[in-house]
Amino acid sequence: MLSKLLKYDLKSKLPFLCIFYALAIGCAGLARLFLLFSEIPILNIIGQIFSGAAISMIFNTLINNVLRAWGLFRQNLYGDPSYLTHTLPVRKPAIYLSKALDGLITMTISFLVSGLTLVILYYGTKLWDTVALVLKALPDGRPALTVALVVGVVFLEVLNMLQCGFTGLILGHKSNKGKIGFSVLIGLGVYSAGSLFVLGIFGAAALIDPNMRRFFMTSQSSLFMLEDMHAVLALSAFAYAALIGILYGLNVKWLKQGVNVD
Amino acid sequence: MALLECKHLYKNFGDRQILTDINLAIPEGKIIGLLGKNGTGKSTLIKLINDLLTPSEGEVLVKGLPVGVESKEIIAYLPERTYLDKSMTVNQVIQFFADFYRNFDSEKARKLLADLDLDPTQKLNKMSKGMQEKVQLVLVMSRKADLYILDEPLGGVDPATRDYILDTILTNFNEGASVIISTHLIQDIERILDEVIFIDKGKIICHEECDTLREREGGSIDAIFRRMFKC
Repeated sequence: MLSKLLKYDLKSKLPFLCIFYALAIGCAGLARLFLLFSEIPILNIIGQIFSGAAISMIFNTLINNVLRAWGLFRQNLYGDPSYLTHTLPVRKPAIYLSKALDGLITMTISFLVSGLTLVILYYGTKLWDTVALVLKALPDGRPALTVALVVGVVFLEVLNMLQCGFTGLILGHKSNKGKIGFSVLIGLGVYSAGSLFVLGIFGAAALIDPNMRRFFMTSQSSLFMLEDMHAVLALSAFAYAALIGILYGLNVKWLKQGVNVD
Repeated sequence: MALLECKHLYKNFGDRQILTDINLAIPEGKIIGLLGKNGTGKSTLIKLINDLLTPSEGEVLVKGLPVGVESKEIIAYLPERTYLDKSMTVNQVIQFFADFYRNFDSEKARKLLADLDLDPTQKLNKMSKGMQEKVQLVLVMSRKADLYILDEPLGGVDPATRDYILDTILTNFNEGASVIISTHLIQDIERILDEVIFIDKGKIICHEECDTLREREGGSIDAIFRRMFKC
């Protein structure tokens, strides 16, 4: 049943997102094409416009993904379509897992499309080379690992944000008949508490590991200048993964306690 | 064992008591009218049976089991509102039901749609509310369920279509199954009812066989209802 739920969840979200994916890649391609002739002012201007549009489409894919996931979650679990969702012969954890996997899959695709858009836009340009040089010059070296860890942490952070929204909707609906303002407040509260939890993990790690302590004590302003930057990023990834796991368990538990649909 | 049992069921929203000590046993093979004025708790009771609300106290048992996946397999529920994804075509909705309900008969659904002159290739958002309600009724009646729960199935349709809908319900529900119909259009459904449940202010005030009630009180169910619920 999970695969069927997931199929319909993806069907209701992906066609909409695909428009933004196509626009992001299309704009990046056109920008690159026009910028091949950047010595001609008008073509340079058009290229810059497409370049800006491609970047805004990247943000669009990510923001739309999250907002649409929250909107569909609210509709399917508490709106009119919930009369169908809750009467399907499917367990509540499967309903939640489907929403979570849907978020994971569409977010992965959005990140890949964003990456591809950036490659099309900047590969082989001066900016690309400059960034590569900066990455190589970092104290911890291994630029590929650095990029992978940074992208991984950002990805987990966005997934965490997505799930905080789900928590807000579940608890908001439980406590105040689904008034959306209440759900938003709870979601923000859960997100803030989650951030403190991540900071707490860093604090605990700093008590044990003197290298990690430098993360708090260093006078260097940039995380990227720390020698053990990879360890800090890996710990961030672990903290967010743990947070996502905890929130997932709580959300499933609260959902299993039952709903009250208007 | 009763098909459906409610034991000491209570539901309140904050301080507001909606249902009070509901005790109910629905046997197999009966058509039962759940009757009451607006806001007396009919839909709340139906929503509790269908896992759309959580009881404040008490329990609902379907074939001896608490409400869950097993009960949803055997209950076909028609809510009072349109709940389908309106971006889907009727064909896609049929596929959706076939995917999730093992007891759904796609061929029967297509036949009923054809009888009602509904185009299966049409999107739901291009249909009127009445047409959407007919599609929902077709989907529900195309399941080989043990219990059909129909909440206001006649609410949004014209009087000419009501008889057709009642005939559709009568001729299409699974043999041996029970049907609970919630409505206040008593005159329209009286002819098909075996039993009635009168609900008032969140309490069941009468649960009886229609013939026994008619004999004892004298007059039709509609007349008895009007007498009992006179404002």
